[in-house]
Parts: sequence; C-alpha cells; structure tokens
Amino acid sequence: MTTTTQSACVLPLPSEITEQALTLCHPRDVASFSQTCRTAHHLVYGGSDQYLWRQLFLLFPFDDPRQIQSVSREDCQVNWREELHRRMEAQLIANRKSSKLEDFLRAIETFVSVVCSAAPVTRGNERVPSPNLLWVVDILLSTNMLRSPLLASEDGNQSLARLRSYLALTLDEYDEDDEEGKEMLQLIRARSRCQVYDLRNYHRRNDWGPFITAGKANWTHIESIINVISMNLYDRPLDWPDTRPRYGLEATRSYSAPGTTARAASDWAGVEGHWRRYVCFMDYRDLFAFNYGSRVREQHDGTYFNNPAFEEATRLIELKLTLIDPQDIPDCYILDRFPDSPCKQCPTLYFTGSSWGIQGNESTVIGSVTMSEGGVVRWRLASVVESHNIQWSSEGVQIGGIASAFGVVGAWTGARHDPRDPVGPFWLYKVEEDHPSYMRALIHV
Amino acid sequence: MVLLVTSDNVQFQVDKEVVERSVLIKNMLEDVGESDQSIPLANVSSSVLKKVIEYCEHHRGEPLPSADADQNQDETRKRTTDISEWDQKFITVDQEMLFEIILAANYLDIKSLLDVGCKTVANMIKGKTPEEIRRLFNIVNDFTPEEEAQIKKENEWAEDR
Repeated sequence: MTTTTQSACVLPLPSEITEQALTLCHPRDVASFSQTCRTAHHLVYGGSDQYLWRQLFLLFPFDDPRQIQSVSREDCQVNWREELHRRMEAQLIANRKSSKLEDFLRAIETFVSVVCSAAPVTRGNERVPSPNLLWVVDILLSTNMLRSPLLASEDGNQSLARLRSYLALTLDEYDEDDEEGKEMLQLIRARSRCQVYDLRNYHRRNDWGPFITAGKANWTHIESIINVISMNLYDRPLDWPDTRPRYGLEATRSYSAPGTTARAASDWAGVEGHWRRYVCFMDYRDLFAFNYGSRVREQHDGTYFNNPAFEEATRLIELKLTLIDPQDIPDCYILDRFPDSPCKQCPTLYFTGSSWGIQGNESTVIGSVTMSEGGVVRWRLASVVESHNIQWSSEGVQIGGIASAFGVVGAWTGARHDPRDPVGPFWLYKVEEDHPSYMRALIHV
Repeated sequence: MVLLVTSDNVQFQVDKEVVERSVLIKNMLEDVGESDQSIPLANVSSSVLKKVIEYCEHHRGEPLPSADADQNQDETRKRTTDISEWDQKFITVDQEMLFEIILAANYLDIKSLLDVGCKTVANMIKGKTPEEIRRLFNIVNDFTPEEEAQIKKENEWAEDR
C-alpha cells in the first residue's frame, strides 16, 4: 500500500482523488472542507488552474458561459470561482429573512446576469431547459423575495425592472378570492399605464421609445409596457385565445423563437418568417385628457384609469417579414438609420414585409434590427399606409437574447413625431408558419 | 481464468471477463497475450482485492464507460451523489477500507468503482461544519487563530447560518 503522509494530504488519498470527490460536493460543503486545515485550504483555494471551481460550477449545474456568443469582448476568460461565489451569495441573500436592501439589489443584479448568460437554444434541443433559468425561477418562487416590502419603493431600479420584465407578472398570479392580490395588480396596472401613456416619456433623446438615452434600454418603461399589454390580453380571454406571446425566463433565451435555430446564416436576428403583433392604445380623447388635464382632474393623474368605464383598445396585427439589402430600402423610409453595429457577426439588418390588421387591409412595413452597445437587440419599424406615406414608427427592444421567443416590446407613435401624435405600446413576437391566422383570413375568404 | 497475486502473496483465480473490468489488467492481458503467468498486484492487499473482485463479479457484463465519457457527460451533466442500492451496501465499510478500495480502484483503473468511492466521500462531507469534518477524518486544525478568522471571512459567501 502506498503510504501518504498527513502533511501533504488531508485524506489518505492522492490530492487529485480528493479533488475529484470534492467536485461532487455542494460548493458550500467544499467551503467547509477548506476550513479544516492548511492543506485542505490549499487544495481548494491554492490551485491556479481553477479545475475544481470549473467542475463545481458546471456540475451545479449552471449553463456553460463559454457557449454564449460574446458580443463585445473577444476573449471569454471565466473566473469560475468568483462567479460561483457571487451566485451562492445571491442565493443566501434571497433565502435570508434579514437581508438588507443593498444586499437584495446586489442579488437581483446577479440573477439578471445569470438569466442573460443562459445558453442559447440549439437545434434538436428545443425542449431542454436551461439550468441557469431553472435555478433563478426556483429561488424566486421559493423565497418570494421580489415581494419583499423592501423592494416596494424601488420601481426605478433598472435591474429589478429588468428581472420583472422577463418574468412578465408570472410570479404575480393571484387566486380569485385574494382581494389584497387583486388590489396589488390594480396598482401595478395604474402605475404602468401612467408610465406608458405619458407623452412626456417620448422624445428625441430616447428615440421616442423605451430608452433612457438612445441605445440604453429603460427597463422600468419596458416593464410597464409588458404589464399594460399582458393585462389587456388577460381581460380578453375570448379574443384570439391561441395567439398569445410567450413570456417567462425560458422565453428570454437566445433562439427560443419558433424556427430560429434553423435560421439562414445571414439572418442572425431571426427576422424572416411570420410574426404577430399586439398594439394597444387609448381613445384619443382619453389620451388627451390624461396628458393635459380636464375639468375634474389634474394632468397625469393616475386615478384617471380607475373609472370602471375606462378601456384601452387592443388590436392584433399579422406580419410576414423578409430581409432586404440596405440599398433596396424604399425612399419613403424616412426614419433615422441605426449607427453601425459594434459586433461583426451581427450587422444591422433591413427588412420589409406585409402586415394585416383588423380592417382586413394589407399594408407594408419597413424596418431594421441592430445589436446595440449594451448587447440589447433593437428594432425600428415603419408602417406605410399608402405607397409613399409612412404613418407610424415603432421602437422596440428584444426581451432577452437574440431571437428570443419573448419577442420585441416597445412603443409606436406618429412617424413625424408631431407633439399631438398619439402613442401606445406594442408586443411583436415570432410564430410558427402554420400558426392560426385571423386577419389575413378576412381578406382571403 | 487469470491468476492474480496480492501484496501479501495471496493468489486469486478470477474469470477473465470479471478481471477485465480493470482497465489496467485488461491492457496487461492484451499486451502479454494468452499466458499462464500470474499477475502481481504489489499495491493491493488480499482483503482489498477480495472486495474489488466482489464488485467486479456483481457488475460482470455491464458496459464499460467509453474513453470519451467525459465529453458525453456534458449532455446530461448534473452533480449527483446517488449510489445504487447494491453499491451502497457494498461500500458500507470502515473508513480505512473505503480509502483502500478507492486507491485500488484508482490503481487498477476501474472507473465506476472509483466513482462510487468518490461519491461516498462526498456524501460523508455533505452538510457538515468544518469541525465535524475534522472529527470525521481525524484532521488536525493547524490554522493560527488569525488565519482561521481570515479564512472564515473568505468563505462568507457560503455562510448560511
């Protein structure tokens, strides 16, 4: 038998076998082991190759961060140990009863980054869930941390709003008899409508879209748009019930949109194919009264929406999009062009398409999609009513990774941005080619 | 039949199919070819080899893990320390024997048995405090109080108490 001296080994085993056993432990147990003696500590923290921490990270399991297409940074050096510590700490914070607000916010930032580093969906593995997303959902469900009173006044926090956007109220479902829950939802709805229909929130600096400045997504605004549209759809269970956008964390994964794992090489954003778009708007008189005040109410008074007779309109539009070369963009497309994409693999793409709306009339859309500096995919499109006249322009953000099933959320307004133009939210998402059609059918019967 | 000789000079006659679960012995036999020569195992005692043969007998005929198993693992990777019922019973031995079996499995290159051993060690550590782990494995705490405080701080990310 080989004899091993106690000074070199913690257990009477070669250190690589001890290391092998440690890779099968929970990271917490490895932390305990490292605190037993100097040799154990060196075995866990002294190694320079990070083998142990990489194994602990991947076997936890988490998605392999090396699978994400890196947008801005070429090298993908992962500090496995630091990243695993950060995630374990976030889990502890969520579980703890006595966490402080700053800890909560740090944990939320970590959860957002874990969601963003979920591996893309690959062909043939469309139904394999991402371990990253399972981990985040499980923590949020089991700890209920997003309902902590500490976070109640943190609506302006971008990371929190981003996480809530991804979840799209999936954690805010209440039973019929839960009066407190219903009241909570009503508050969220009023707050979201105030944000979405306030004309002051749309101007040149934010490209008349859900941005803080051009290119930097405003997640508070995006969350509000998602809340407004999803609650409107919830109110209309009989309208096109099989045509609903997908939401929740799995729907944020890159290439989770139907058919996009088999896209053409040039179509990195998964543009080509069939889409559905929900558009909501307030009656123009309501929009005007809410923004400029009336005899009975001040401007931008949230109680405007408490009137039981108040209702927004919700319309379904069906689209089919095709890529075009930049030089083939019709002259009537007067919207600004996106700046050049910072990412070589993701050049700005241009497309045209047909759209079919409630009146059964067919119109044309022209638009483009780009990868912004912050790694967020941006969409801009124009609706052409008559052949030479752009009526509406839309600015949107892809929620989650490239070609996510969640789709694109944003705002539409008049193409010329007149001060009295209406404004409203939209949600655009991709569907299978054989998805039931309602608008197109109206024309072709 | 293959003749194995242990470090304490005990002879074991074992079926070729059984003994070939050891990649080391399988390769030896392939190199030497058909022969009546005994194989000396200078690193394994008779009490340990008896256990190892018992394991190989039980798992006779099961497919051996392929050489690229580590790559395939990626598809279904998940940390698991589950051990089958028979293996669990088999590996319920005193600590000294456990480590001897692990060493023998490593030397003889029997991957599945090494796995069972590593999982058992992992399960022993699971959920224990540093002090409990020290007591379990007779580890001497050689940290100075300053070091201990420092190291406790370093592991705060895992502190859930």
